[in-house]
Amino acid sequence: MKGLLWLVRKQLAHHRVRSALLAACLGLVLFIPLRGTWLVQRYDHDLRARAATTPLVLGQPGNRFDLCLGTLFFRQARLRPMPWSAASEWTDRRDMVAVPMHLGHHVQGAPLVGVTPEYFERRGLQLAAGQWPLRPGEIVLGATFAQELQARVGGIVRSDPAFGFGLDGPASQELRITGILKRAFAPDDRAALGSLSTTWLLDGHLHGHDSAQDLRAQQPDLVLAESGDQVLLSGAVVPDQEAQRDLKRLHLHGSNEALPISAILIWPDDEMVRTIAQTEVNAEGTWHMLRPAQVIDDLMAQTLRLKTLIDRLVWVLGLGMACLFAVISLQSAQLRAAELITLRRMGAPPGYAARLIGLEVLAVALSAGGLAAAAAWCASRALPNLVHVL
Amino acid sequence: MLRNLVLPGWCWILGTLMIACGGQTPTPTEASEPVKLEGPVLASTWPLASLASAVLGPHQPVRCLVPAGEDPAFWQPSDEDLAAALQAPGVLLNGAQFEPWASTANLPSSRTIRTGRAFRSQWIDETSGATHSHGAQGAHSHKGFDPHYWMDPLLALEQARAIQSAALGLGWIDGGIATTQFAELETRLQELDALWVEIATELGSQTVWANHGTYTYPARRHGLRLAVVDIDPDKSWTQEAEIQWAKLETKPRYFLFEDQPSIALQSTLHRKGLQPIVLRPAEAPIDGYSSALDVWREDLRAFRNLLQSPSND
Amino acid sequence: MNDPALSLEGVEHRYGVRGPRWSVASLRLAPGQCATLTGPSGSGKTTLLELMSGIQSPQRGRIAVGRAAWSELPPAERQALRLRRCGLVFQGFELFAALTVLDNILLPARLLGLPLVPARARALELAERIGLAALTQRKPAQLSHGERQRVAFCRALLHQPAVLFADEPSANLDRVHTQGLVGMLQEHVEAGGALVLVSHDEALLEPWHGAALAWHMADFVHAQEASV
Repeated sequence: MKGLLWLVRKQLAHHRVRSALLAACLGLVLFIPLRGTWLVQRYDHDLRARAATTPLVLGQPGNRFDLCLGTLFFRQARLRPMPWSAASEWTDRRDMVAVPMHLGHHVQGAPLVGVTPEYFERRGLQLAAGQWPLRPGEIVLGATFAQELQARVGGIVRSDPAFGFGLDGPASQELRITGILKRAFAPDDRAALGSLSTTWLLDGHLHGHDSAQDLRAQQPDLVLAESGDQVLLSGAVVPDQEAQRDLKRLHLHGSNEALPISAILIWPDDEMVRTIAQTEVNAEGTWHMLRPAQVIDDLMAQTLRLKTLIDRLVWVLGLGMACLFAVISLQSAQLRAAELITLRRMGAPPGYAARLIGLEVLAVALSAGGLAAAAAWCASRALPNLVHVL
Repeated sequence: MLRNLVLPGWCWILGTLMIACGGQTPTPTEASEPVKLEGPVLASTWPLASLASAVLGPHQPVRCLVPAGEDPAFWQPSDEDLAAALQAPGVLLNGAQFEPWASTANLPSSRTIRTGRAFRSQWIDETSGATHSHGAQGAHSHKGFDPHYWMDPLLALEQARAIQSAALGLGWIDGGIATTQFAELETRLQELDALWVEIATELGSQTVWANHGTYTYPARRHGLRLAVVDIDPDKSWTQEAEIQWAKLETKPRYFLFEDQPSIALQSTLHRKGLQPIVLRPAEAPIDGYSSALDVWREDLRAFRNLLQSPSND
Repeated sequence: MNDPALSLEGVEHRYGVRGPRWSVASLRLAPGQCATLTGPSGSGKTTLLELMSGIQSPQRGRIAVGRAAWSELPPAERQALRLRRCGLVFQGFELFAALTVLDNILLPARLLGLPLVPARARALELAERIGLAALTQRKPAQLSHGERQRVAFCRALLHQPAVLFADEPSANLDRVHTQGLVGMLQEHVEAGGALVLVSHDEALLEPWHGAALAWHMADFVHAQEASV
């Protein structure tokens, strides 16, 4: 056997380019289904794991996939806003924990999510450095995002303009990084998280500027009218664009009850609370309450149907490749017929030539499998948060 | 081999039985030990801190965020205060924009109790927007809802009820303690309400001046005729006050102040036959008192006694 | 009496249905003996050599190496016997393109599972003696015909076979290398090995005149008998 393995090794080494090419081609064909399977498994696992830790989501009626994927994975989705007043009904309840969430803003391309502090508790997020955001304009960064940005605690990042480059929209704001999260292997790793006030600040609902009295003295052209202590200022007043530590300086125009939120994540105390809440809300019809686990089940059912189809195509491709591989192996054996006959004539045991060819094929196939597995592993390392990418 | 399994097996069965029985018959120690919170419950004002202390009892710490001498309308929390609020078992807010910082600070919504929300329909809409000042902290105007509802003891009771509900819901206290504590608080607040009833009876139809809208809630409940004349207790008689005074045919006898008026103001009031009455809302802690309830009772009793004293006639 | 290294008894063989037919009544080759096999091209020398070495089976008769008759052995033992006891120098060299000169020479040792260190030493010694010392790391494609023939010769001699079948071993060699080859064949025979030498090369055959059994294919046609 040792002699046989030696001969196989010598043979493969002699035809190293051909063997490597063959292994690479076969590996590529193996890689596709292997990667596809891992991809779907990973996707399935990530989606379900996130969904399993989020019992209910409340939002505007509409596309349930958008609502679920937007709130759980921060995927870009146009969620119709709900008023903040709708949240208090849920946040005041003692048989559940409700976390209002405001989506739609971005920092350096990453989603900026406005949440209440319970979000961090419920998701089990922990700080690697710094402290939690306390004031509007303060954010914590997910581990991966912070790494990509090479951000540090105390640093400043600028929000992406919410309304493109429209001059009538609120300007982008400087945001102070108060903390960096430990890696959670979740979409939070690639996001920035702040308070709801921070997102309202970016919306332009909340802002700060110099006092009317100061502006009256400094820029009288901004004053439209005045009566005693009352000063009516023009809309051309430039609001603050840097992270404000003075809470008093920030103010809302209009009722805070009408401030927008995208959805509410709800963690009920028990199954009964969950069932009753969902039934009542969906029967009433103003809002829509869904169980992410169910939505993900439906989503995965569709994904798996697609994967089955792709698998079948890959089987056909694999069969074609196997035939090609067989032809190449036979051709190779034919070219080496003289050598193989010599082996028999010299007295090599019966079947020695067949074993030699078989082992060579096996070695190439194993190399191809190894290559495919390594490539699939590398690909999975390169895409640590697949759900975010997809 | 089997013999080796017998002892652990019995231990397991006994253990299971003990656990099963344990749920039904708690030990006396378990039953009597109060719930231990990780940190104090935070209150944005002293009235709330006082109500919360009364509801939760002596074992649960309550911390008033606003320090003595500060006005909650102007006070700003430090980073330490805000960080403490994130960790606290609960944050009690008065609402109606009495603590403006709370609308933008990052507070845990499930543990933030807006104690006035349950009786929102009873809030008084103060659209006049009077601008005035308290000492050195600058002028401010009132627009929207009047946040001083705790000055009506029965609305303070509603706030206490919201605190009790949160305390039970969030597990700060157990039901037995809550009931006992609340009954005591209810008695104290009803005593305050009774004092207001006596005061209202004594005052009858006469108008009372007040330097601030603080008293509109008890005035509404007890039918007091209240006129708000904006005078800073630290300052002196104003021209606007003089005009209003001059317009009146029947002059009021009592002027309600949030704080002791200045000597100059007192002498003016004295000359006009106006008796200054201090009814402190106790928004921030006051030295020498452990609870805002004591301050209110003391002030109301003093006013009631004044009204009922023979020399007053 | 010692067992013959090679013996043929009543062997008959024919190429196809209508091809030339020949037969050998009895032939014996003792250890340390050489037999030269001559005859015109196409007379069946190589076929007879393959019959003798068990690569082919005769249609009738018995051929044995030592006591073991090829026809009486199961295929595995037959192969093992040839590998162990026979050395073959093929007409077409039949070297392995993937192996170096040294590895090609070592092939029988690898197949037999012999200890590599002494086998390697012997391979290098054979290569040295036949003028291949500088070429041991080359691949067959980098060698001339003569060099390939010498490699094939060394490979057949490596494991010191009991019987060496050499089919035109000097066909591509010059006189100098043929002399070297003759010397090594003589050493093989002197060491007790039997040799069946098929050749037309007088330079190769000349040293064996009188010392070797001379078999001619004409002797075997039409059942003529040759005995030793």
